[in-house]
Amino acid sequence: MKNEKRSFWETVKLFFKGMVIDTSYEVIEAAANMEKDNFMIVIFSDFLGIPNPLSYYTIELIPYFGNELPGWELRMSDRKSVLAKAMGEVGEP
Amino acid sequence: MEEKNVFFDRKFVFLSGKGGVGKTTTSSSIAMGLSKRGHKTLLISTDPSHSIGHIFEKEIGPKERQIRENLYGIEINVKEESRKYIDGILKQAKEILSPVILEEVKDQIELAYHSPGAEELALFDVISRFFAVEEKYDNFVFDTAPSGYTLRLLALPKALNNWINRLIKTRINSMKVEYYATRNPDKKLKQKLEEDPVLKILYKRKEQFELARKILLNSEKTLFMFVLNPERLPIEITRDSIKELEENKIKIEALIINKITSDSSPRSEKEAEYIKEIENEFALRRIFKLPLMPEEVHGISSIEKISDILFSQ
Repeated sequence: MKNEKRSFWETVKLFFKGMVIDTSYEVIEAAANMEKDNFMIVIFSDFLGIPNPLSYYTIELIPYFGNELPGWELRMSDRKSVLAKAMGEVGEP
Repeated sequence: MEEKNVFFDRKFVFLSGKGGVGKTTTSSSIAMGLSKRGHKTLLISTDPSHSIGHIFEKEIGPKERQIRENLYGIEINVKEESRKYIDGILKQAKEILSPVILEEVKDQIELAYHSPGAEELALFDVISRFFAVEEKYDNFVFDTAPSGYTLRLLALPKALNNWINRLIKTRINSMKVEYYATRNPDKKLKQKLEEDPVLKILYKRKEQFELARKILLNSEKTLFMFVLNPERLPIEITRDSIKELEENKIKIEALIINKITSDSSPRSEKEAEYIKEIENEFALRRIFKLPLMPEEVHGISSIEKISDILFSQ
C-alpha cells in the first residue's frame, strides 16, 4: 500500500518535472549553443569566407573552441533563413 | 636652451621614417644624449639587422644590456617574436584538440602569421610590452613606431575597444546560459568565469589596448618624430604620413632632417631648397638638422658627436 502510494507521487513528480523542467532545459541548451555559435563566428570567420583583420589576435582562442568546430561548421552551413529560425523558436502558427 | 629640449620630458620617443633615412643612428644619438645628461635610458631597436649592436660595437640581442653609464639597449626581431607567439598557440592547440581537428585548424593558425596586418600587430605587441614596465627607465627611445594602421585602430575607440568589449560580453553571456543549461554544475558560475582561459586572454588584450591608448595618445608622455632626408620623395612621404596620422589625433611634433651635405655642389644647393620647403611647410613643428657625416657612423664616439649636434639645437 505504502509502496503504491509512493510510486503514485513519483509519477506525479516525474510528470511535472518532464513538463516544466526538462523542456525548459532544452530551451536553455539551445540558447547556450546559439551564444557559443555567435562567439565562434568571430574566431572562425575565415572558415566562412569572411576575412578578419584581427585574426592575428583571435587565433589565440582557437585551441579552446576547436573541438566544437565540426558541429559548428555543420550548423553554419545548414542555417535556415532568419525567418524560419524565428518561426522554429515560437512554433509554427 | 638645453632644458627646453623636447626629449627630456617625454618618457617614450618614437621615430618614424622610410628605411635608410637614419632612424637607428638618430635614435641611438637621442638615447646617448639623454643618458649623458643623467637619464636612465633604454634604446629599443626592432631592426632585424641588429644595427644598434653594430653602432655601439657591442653584442646586444633580445635581452636588455648596458651599453654605457645610464644607457641600455635591446634588439628585438619582430618576426621571431611573432613566430614564438604562433608556436605557443600551436602547442596549446596540440594539448587540447584531437588530431583530426588539429589538422584542420593548424593551417588557419599558420596562415595568421602571414596575414595582412600580422607584422604590424606583432610590432605593436613588442612595443606595448614596455608600457607595462615604464617605471624601470626614465626614457624609452624606439627606432621605430607603431604603424599607421595600428595607431588608427587605437585612436578610434570604436574600433578596438568596442570590439574587445563586445567579445567579452558575448563570452560571459554564453557561459552564463551554458551554466543555467547544466543540471548539476560542478562549480559556481563566478568561479567558472574567473577560471575561463578565453576570458583571461580577452581581458589581457583589453588591458593592453587601454594602456597603449593611454600612452600613445598622450602628447605629454610620448613624442613622435619623423626622420627624413632632404630629397623629393622623403618629403612627399612625410607629408602624407603626417597628414594621415594627424587626422587620427597623433601629433608629430618634431622632424629630423638627416644627412644634409654642406659642400657647394649642385646637390647641396638643391638640398637647401628642400630644407627651406620643409621648414615652411612644417613650421609649427620642431625641426632638427643633422649633417651627412664624413665617415660611416660607427662606434660610440661618432654617436656622441651626432648626439651633441642634436642636443645643441
